[in-house]
Amino acid sequence: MSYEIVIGLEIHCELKTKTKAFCSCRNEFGAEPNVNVCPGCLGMPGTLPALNKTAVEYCIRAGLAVGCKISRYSAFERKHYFYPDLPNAYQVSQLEYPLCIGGGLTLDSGKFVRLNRIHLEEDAGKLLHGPYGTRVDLNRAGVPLIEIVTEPDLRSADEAVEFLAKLKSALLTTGVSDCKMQEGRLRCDVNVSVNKPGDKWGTRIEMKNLASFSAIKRAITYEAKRQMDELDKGNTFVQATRRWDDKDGKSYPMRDKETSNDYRYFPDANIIPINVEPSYVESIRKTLPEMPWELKERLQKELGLSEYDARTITSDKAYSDLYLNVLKTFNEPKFVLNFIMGEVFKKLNALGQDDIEIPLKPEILAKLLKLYHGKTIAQATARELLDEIWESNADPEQIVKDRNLAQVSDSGALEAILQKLVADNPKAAEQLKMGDPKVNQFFIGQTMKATGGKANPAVVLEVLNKIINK
Amino acid sequence: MAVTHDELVKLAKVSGLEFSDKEYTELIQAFKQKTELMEAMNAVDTSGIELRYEPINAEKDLREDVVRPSLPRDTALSGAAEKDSSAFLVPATVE
Ligand SMILES: [Zn+2]
Repeated sequence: MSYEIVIGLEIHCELKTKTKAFCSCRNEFGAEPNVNVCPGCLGMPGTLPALNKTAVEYCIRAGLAVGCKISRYSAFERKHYFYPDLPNAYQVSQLEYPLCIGGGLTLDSGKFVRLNRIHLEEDAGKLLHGPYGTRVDLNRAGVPLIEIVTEPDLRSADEAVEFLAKLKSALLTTGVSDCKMQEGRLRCDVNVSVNKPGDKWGTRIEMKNLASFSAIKRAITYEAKRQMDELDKGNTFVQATRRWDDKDGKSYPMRDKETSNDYRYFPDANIIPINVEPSYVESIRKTLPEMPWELKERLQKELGLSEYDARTITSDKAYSDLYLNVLKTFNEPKFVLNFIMGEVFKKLNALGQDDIEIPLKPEILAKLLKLYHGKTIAQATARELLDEIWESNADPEQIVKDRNLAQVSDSGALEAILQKLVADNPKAAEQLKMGDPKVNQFFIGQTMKATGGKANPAVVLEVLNKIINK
Repeated sequence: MAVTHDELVKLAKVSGLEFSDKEYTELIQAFKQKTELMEAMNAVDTSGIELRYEPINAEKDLREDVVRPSLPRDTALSGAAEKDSSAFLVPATVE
């Protein structure tokens, strides 16, 4: 009997503000431990929080990008728990009056995934586990986060990953965060339950702090299967938090203490509720850039890209930035698109990152593509050069000149090579005369070999036809 | 609505606090006064009165996002019971 999988996500995203949420310490990733701390974020008695204007603005900005309603009135609560990375023994968060309500994103299938809310809160510090115990670094304590909570609208691991990728791309576009999953700046809690179609929803299991697309996909797949197996055996289970171990590929129960949900939320009397005027919301809305789904429509309309191509090239901001910036100096939309979706994607897949970073500068890629498009260099040379300039950003024109990589389009030079090939391979030459197109490839291949991959295939064919039909 | 002894014991436990029996008795009294005050306020008929609040303005009244110097690390660590040259030390936490 088949089951339906029900998934909801809670996404935590660190905001790219200059300072922390409630004090003026620097918000900085990768600093020496405990250099960005003050009495406020250390939780010293007698200090008072001072809410960061930009953190509020970024939360609103993120909300507007994904269609949330912005609350006129918003307030902060304390969420209490004890952990060494939390100096105040509470996290300032928003429960009753979040800044953003509702909204959502549309998947490629056309399905709309609803958001419940986006609220502003603060991050905790970091525990550094070592052989001599645990060290606490509070640089991150108080860094502003937004928590984006979906409704339980997702029905498969693939949908969850697609949603998260789309959300990440939207957040990157708004500029409120750099969303680096590898640095823990975008993390995801996943709620999974299973039920038989038509039945009411099953018991929800939460897995916290999943830090990569593959972990999210594997964790959901594993956990859904585990729940189905339990139910098939006639077992029941209680709502709980499980820990995902990405190395084992398994989820494990967490000790009761860690999952106790008694956070004793209450209003933070030190932070005065905020009033968000509609005029302020509108002024933020005006500064929103073109969102990925808007760009996709525009590329289809203005450049005539197919739905698939437009969707793919806008699926990550790194792709669309590269594409649009190459077009600025080399305006061949289809040609550039095919090269990026072919060669550049191949290279990125080989690197296998969650956070796409393309070191190659668009203007350098444009130069390479001009050489390739103008048939100065062959495809094989273009590929090799892409590898070479990927990080170095060396000038492809200079390399081609220095190493004499230009394609041989000189029919005189090719004729000598092909004459010899035809003479050396009489059988193949005979087949070619009979009109067997497969033999073309043989001669092109041999000519490539003889020229070190620099022969222009079109010219090879032209010359070959001339020789054969003489 | 009064706060019971059992509720206070639970609250003390999750808050990591310990009280004597005498303190519990006093706390129950103190809570009772507060809840009575709230009940008295709840009894006031507020229907038809528009909600008013005096929050601060998100655009004008909040702290500008400008970095100010943090504490020197030695000072930040000076109150810690256990520390090394750059961090606070705590008993090993089990993940
Ligand atoms: Zn601080």
